[in-house]
Amino acid sequence: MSRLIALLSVALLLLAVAGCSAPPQAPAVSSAEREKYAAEAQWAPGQLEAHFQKHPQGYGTLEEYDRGARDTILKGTAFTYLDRESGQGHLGFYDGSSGRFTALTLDGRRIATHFRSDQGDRYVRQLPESTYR
Amino acid sequence: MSGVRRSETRGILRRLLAKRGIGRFALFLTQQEGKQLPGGIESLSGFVLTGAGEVYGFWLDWDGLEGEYVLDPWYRVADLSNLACDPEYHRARRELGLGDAGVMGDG
Repeated sequence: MSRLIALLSVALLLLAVAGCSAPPQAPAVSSAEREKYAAEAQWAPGQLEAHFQKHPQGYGTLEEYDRGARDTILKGTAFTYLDRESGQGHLGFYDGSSGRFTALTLDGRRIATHFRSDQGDRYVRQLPESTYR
Repeated sequence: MSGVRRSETRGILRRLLAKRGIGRFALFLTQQEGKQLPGGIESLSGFVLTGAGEVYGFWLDWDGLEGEYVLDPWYRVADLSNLACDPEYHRARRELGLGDAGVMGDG
């Protein structure tokens, strides 16, 4: 028995040395938090217009696009990931039924982007440190 | 892998910003935008804070006609009051040693 424990300890130590650890857990985002983010999160200056220009898929107007971003916060699966450029944590919402993705800053105050992924959920799974499952 | 991509993206941005006369800068509120560009990098949106304290919104994209990376759109944020409470903006200001003065911009 003690030999088995010793072997397990060595295995865990080797995994830790190799940088392996338990997969990151998806955040628990309550319904109240979703509603708050969907209602109050803001686009940074000029970003709503720029994002609608670049990601108009399925939207006719700026207002529809903005509403789509907020609807995805309400409907999507919540997860976290790291922005590849800054290394900052972001909060993501991915709606598998529509393929739509909305990203917020981790405090839920800024909408960072909204678009329909042409790779489906493969896109959100491959984001750095993604907790999407 | 992501580190390599980040380094390449940063190099492209540095070159494009140098063309606009910006040598010293910090990025904030960046976000990958899901579009693969030539060279294995991904489109990116965000903001540039310059050493002079000016803020520009940008989108790193690819101009297929010219065959080169572009910042489009690229726009100056004149009124910085919307950013005054933004932690990432303040991190960028600290990174450039700008402190917290002048965050209201020139309207």
